[in-house]
Amino acid sequence: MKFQTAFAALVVLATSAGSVYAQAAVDRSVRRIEADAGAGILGGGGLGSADANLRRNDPVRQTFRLFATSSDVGRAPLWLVRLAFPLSRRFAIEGALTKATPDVRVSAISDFEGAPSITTTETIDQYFIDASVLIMLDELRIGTRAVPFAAAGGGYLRQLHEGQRLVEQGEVYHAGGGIKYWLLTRNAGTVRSAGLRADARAYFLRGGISFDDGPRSHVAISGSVFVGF
Amino acid sequence: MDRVLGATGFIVDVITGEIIESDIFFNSIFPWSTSAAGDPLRFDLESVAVHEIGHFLGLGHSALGETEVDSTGDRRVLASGAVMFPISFGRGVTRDRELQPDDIAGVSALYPDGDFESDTGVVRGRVTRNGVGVVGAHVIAFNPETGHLIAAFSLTRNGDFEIAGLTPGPHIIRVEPLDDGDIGSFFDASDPIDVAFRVAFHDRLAVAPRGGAGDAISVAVQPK
Repeated sequence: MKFQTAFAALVVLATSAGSVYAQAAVDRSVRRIEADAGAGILGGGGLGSADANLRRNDPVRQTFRLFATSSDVGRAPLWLVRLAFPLSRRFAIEGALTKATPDVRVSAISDFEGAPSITTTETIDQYFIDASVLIMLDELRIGTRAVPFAAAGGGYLRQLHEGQRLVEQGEVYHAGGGIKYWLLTRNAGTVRSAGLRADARAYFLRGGISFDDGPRSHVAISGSVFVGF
Repeated sequence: MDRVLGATGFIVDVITGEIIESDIFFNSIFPWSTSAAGDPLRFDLESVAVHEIGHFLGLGHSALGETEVDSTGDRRVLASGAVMFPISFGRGVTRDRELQPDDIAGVSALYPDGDFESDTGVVRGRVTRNGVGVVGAHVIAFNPETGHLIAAFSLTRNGDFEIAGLTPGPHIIRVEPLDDGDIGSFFDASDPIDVAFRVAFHDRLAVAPRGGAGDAISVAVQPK
């Protein structure tokens, strides 16, 4: 009997604590799927440089530069869709598909025979298919509806050249954060929550279109609308 | 023959097209070396042999190189990107023992193994000057990812060219006149080779897809 009283007290205490917490913040759904769609900007970055070298007829200097190239990828709009699954009030996992269509620019310069320098371009279709872990930073809550978060993850990079006839593949990793702002939360109905989300991320790409061996970094910012079911 | 290090000849049955005999000649006027490190006073036999074996297998000369004309009127090689470049590096140099991407692409296109065509790509297109096809333009494809330079000529009166054996990916295309060797080293005297245009790059990247050809490109060059 004594045990039952203690257990009941613990349940009351736990429930009370939950209620107090709920009064201070939006009631975020746990273990319910959240869908998210939005758009943003994917920043540009360098793709490396390469010289078009012949073999020099000189025992000391081995290469003869016919011309030089430098390459970069331009800034581009991005579109994304995500599915998130909150594991707890603090942690969530999510999968995302992000598409951008940046221009790959390669400049040919310093031609040995004086060909005019030129910058050639190609528009590619670029996809990130990745998974992330989100950590909700409730302790940094802004008001009752806005909660910052940190996110990190990785996935698959797919790039299609113009004409869609050549695919380049690689890996993409990201880290960043953002803020979620709940416009609606409720305990019944199909739609349990809805709101806005802003993200800022650093992406690191390995493989894919690259003219040197190192990873390339890109910054992305995005805004989206999420709906919890 | 006083300027020819080696030559490859064929005896062909003109009825059937069958190759009856092929011979590689090394000109005994010149001093030769078989030293592993090369001999600065002699021509490297292996380097010239690799070049001639390229002819034996059916390759023509590559124009992937740069030369200068010295005071005696002879051409001196400044640089070369292919064993099949028609002018030797000179005495003591052994670098033509090693095949270059242009050589490998050329011989692989003639004798493709099972995966060659499916693993490599083709860039094809047309070179024009004032809207008219250019014959004999030297078209170079540069892959910034691999650093490979692979080249071909525009061979028809329409200015059509095709570069096969490319590593799939985007390429910079550079077009130049045939100005680093005697035209007779590359074409018959009767071919209407046009060398009166400026070097130019194509203004788009040319993508060689894996196992096929990308969209044909058109490169317009300007007269000199």
